[in-house]
Amino acid sequence: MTRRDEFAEFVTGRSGALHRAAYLMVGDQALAQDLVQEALVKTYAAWPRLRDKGNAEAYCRKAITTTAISWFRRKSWSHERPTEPLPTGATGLDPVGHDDAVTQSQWLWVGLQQLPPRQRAAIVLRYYEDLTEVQTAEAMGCAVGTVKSQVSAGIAKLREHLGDDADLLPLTDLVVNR
Amino acid sequence: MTEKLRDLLHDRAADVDFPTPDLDVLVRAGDQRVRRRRGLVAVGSVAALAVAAALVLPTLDNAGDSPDAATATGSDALPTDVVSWANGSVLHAGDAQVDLGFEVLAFVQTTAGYVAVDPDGVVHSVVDGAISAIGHTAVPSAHLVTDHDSTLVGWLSDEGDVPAFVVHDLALGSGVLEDSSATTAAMGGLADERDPAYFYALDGDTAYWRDERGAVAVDITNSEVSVIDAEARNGFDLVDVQDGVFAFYGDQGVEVGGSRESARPLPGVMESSGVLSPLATMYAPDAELARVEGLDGTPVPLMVPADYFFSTVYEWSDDQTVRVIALQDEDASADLLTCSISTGACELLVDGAGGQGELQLPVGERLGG
Repeated sequence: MTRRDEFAEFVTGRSGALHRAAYLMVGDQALAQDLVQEALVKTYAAWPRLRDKGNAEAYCRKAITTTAISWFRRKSWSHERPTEPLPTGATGLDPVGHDDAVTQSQWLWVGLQQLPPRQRAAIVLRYYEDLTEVQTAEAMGCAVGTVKSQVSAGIAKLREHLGDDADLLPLTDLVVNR
Repeated sequence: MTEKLRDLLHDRAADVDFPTPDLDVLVRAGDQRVRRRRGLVAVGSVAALAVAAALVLPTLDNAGDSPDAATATGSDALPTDVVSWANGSVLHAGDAQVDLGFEVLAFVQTTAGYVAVDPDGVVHSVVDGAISAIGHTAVPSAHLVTDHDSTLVGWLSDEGDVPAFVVHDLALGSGVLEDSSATTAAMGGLADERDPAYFYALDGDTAYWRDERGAVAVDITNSEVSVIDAEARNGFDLVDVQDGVFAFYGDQGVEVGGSRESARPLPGVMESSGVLSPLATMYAPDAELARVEGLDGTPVPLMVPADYFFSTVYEWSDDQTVRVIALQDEDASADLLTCSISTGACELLVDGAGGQGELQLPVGERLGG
């Protein structure tokens, strides 16, 4: 099997999952596509150096995560990006239909998108990808302790954002440590 | 209680559809990136220590002259403590230059002089104004290695029946090591070949290469061999060695440490080549925009002017100074910059050193190869 064939098999099998994780990290479909495209190009360029082709997904996931963080950092994108209109949260008026499950989800989603990029990435990797702290640290290119602090800070901010509905989220000290 | 968050993430992710990426576009872009890296980046090589001083020396030849190798020898030696580059057959060292009489395919700079490979694979030393043939290597994949503050140069010789690793001391003017004990005629010399014989690096009196035993360290003084990574598959497994510290390449990118077993990923560094600083306190990956990372993952900001679309560190002048190649566009003549680690400030060293296919830097490999 040629390098191109191996890579094609990887793209066909895994690009959907990679796109979804990227989307959760950046909250924008077009940007997620750009991000995955960039990560896949990096993965293809690195293909001969990957000892175990089974690790291509981990490599690509790391490329997505670090590239996303890098883009946000470089462009201060978190301050420029359009976000959905935000009603005030815990400290102000409740959003319309706050007790409705759909609205709760929307409210939580908006809160997630307001998190700094590293906290958002850490939460997506831990709670969507279901990675261990060690795997998350590898994907983010940081220490395990940093993952713990980023997840903890992110959850705390989401709880603050949710106000009265904060119990929908894990307490920071109940975050699963593996 | 974590379920709400998990449910939200999964629900949101399930709501969006993405088309399968265009494989041709990915492969084209990936191949282009590989070519650019091979062309414009110090591929795991190290170059000689050189202080960024602007020495003003008389040129050793006249512009437009093309002396042959026999007459290119000058009475003055090229300085070895300044920025160097080659353009065609002319080797530049600061403000001095000499026409070597052959196109420079690849070269390195040492504290005793220069070593350059010509298009026929002849390895030449350029020491004290004298040019001498000192060996032969395969072209166009010629790959020279040296170290900071060193007079040693290494390469893979193709003169015998099997490839041989050769180390030459420019100060002595002679070879100090030749080893073909674990190579076979079937072994190629390219980094990305299957089962290559590949010279990774020189670090002090130790040579690092890949042969049938994997990645090995060879003490040049007594030829003692130790295997540092029996699983090393090709020329990419060991990126650099400085001051006894290894930069390996693993599935999660660059891993740094005193051994293969103890090496730990350098956070966020996935580029497959780069250069450790002389004291192995920092690492400069071959990024698309020049950057330096502390070994703890702390980024070191470099203020490369924003009008360069591509820039990358190609050598360390010392542990606090890097040299950077920078392009304003794909077709531009490359500029060479020097950047301070402590301040991040960058200054132009050489304005328009040469374009792709012409310019060679002291990284031991052919740019654009």
